[in-house]
Amino acid sequence: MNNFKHFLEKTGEIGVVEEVRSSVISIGGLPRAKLGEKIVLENGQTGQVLALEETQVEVLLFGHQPVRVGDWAARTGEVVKIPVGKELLGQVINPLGEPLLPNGPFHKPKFFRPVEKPPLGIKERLGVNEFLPTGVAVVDLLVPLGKGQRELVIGDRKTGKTTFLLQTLVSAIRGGMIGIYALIGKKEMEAKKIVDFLKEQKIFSRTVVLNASSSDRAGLVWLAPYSAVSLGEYFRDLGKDVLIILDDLSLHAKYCRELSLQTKRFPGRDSYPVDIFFSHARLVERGGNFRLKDGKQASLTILPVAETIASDLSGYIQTNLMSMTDGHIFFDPDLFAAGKRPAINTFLSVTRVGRQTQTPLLRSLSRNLISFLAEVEKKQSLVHFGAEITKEIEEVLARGELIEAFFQQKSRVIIPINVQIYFLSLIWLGKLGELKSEEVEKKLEEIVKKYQKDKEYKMKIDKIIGKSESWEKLLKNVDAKAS
Amino acid sequence: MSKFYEKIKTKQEVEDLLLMIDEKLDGGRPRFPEWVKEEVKDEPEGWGRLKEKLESLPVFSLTVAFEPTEEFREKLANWIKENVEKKAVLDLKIDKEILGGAIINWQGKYRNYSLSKKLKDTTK
Repeated sequence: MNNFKHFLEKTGEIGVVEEVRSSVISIGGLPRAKLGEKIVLENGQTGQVLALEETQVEVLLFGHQPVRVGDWAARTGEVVKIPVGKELLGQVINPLGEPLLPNGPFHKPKFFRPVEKPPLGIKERLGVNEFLPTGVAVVDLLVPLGKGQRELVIGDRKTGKTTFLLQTLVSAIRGGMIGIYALIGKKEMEAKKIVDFLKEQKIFSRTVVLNASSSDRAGLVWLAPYSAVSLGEYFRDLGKDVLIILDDLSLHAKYCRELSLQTKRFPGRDSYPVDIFFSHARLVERGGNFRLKDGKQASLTILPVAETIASDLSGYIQTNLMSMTDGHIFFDPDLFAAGKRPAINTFLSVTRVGRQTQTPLLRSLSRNLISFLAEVEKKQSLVHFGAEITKEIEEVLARGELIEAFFQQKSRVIIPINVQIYFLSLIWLGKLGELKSEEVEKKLEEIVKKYQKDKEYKMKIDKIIGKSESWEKLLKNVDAKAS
Repeated sequence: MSKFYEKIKTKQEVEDLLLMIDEKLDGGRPRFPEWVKEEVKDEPEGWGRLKEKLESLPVFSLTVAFEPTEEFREKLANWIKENVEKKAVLDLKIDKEILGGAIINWQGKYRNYSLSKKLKDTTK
């Protein structure tokens, strides 16, 4: 109420609510309102100007309180802003920067940033040139990501997308990045589960969880990804590498559709707003690798999520998102049903800028591994036809089985990239003895633990990998050390 | 000035008349003043037309600190019709907290000429 009176006096303009349509209201008056301007109602809740008509202003509401026809509204003279600052790390906030789940004392940040901002131009941009380890072997070795990449994570529900995202978040934060997890239109419980996981992994203090749940107003859910990116841009401008997860944009598109239909705009394909591609592309375009004013580089990696129905990758929003990102990781429900974890279909996944961030060793490893997996598949189909199995085929299949077991990764396991490379070379060289595929997981776990605890062992592995420029050289070096 | 705009002077009168029209449309028999009957001209769509007309009247909102007499209200309403807009209806509100002066709210513009604001500004 105080805020309302303050803005009323400041701008000298008043409006009266004339129509209420769920999240969108029409206000008469406010003659000098501008598009995107923040509006405050007499009950204290805020909104944003969506459209200007001859005698009315269309406003998108963010608050929960009911609004009646006849309520007063005032302009604020400023766009919608979110408080930004280090104080938000280790907090669960809503898209307006207000704390949701109590986690110690909350200090409101002093700085504010507009939620809607045009992406930085070509001058400030740099190529994606640094590898982003996800800790998930199948991704790091076959569909690598780079810092500043916009990679779509796509798949049916309950196929392990969130697990992968959380593993990536843990790995990125352990590597010194800042994490922002935006839950868009999900259940309230999801935020709690994610916070519990982050606390368990001891990385919550370097993460901001931004939650706009399905029980919030559609306007607030609509705002969520923009707020998350604005927050990310703040940390980026401090010189930090930031990872933003937008979970998920296909649901966000549905909220956009709801709002667009409420405002009686002309519907586009599948009734989505006609500018849905523009609004999502503009959002995702805010990610990238940037040169800051002081000459340093900092990245804003965005992982938007899209849900598919019955693995249909050709949906409107899904194809939109695919075409505005630098590749996609596809979670295949068939692989999930077959027990593969993570259920990533590497043949249908794409990374457009990730490979350029790989070291020559990783690149040659990746190339060899892909051709080997293709060979395994070919041999497997031969075996299906009942062809005679030669020793050579037997060896290939056995190695393929071990590699497949190596790619089988539990949700809480994060494998450092050098351990991934080293372990794979051991499999390749047959240095793991008569190891059966069921025992791979245990062996790998042992090596990961030893690598994390034993500094000498870590140095040894890092040294072997550091001096190997190609996969062939690595195999030679590992072979020499092992024998 | 048309008779309609002359007769309707305050927001309260608009609201009362709208209630009566609703009652009439629901089958009731409220007693309308003569000028209303003339306005409707016994046409079936006349009531709907009148309702629309009433709802579209611009409101001149004025907040004062005292309870004005009926005579003063009339004077204010007439002054607004003559000097501001003939279609405007007066919405007079009383708020003792403003101490004196008035707050005007017209066509989206808000002007606070109250004594309380003046005092606040001088003590800043």
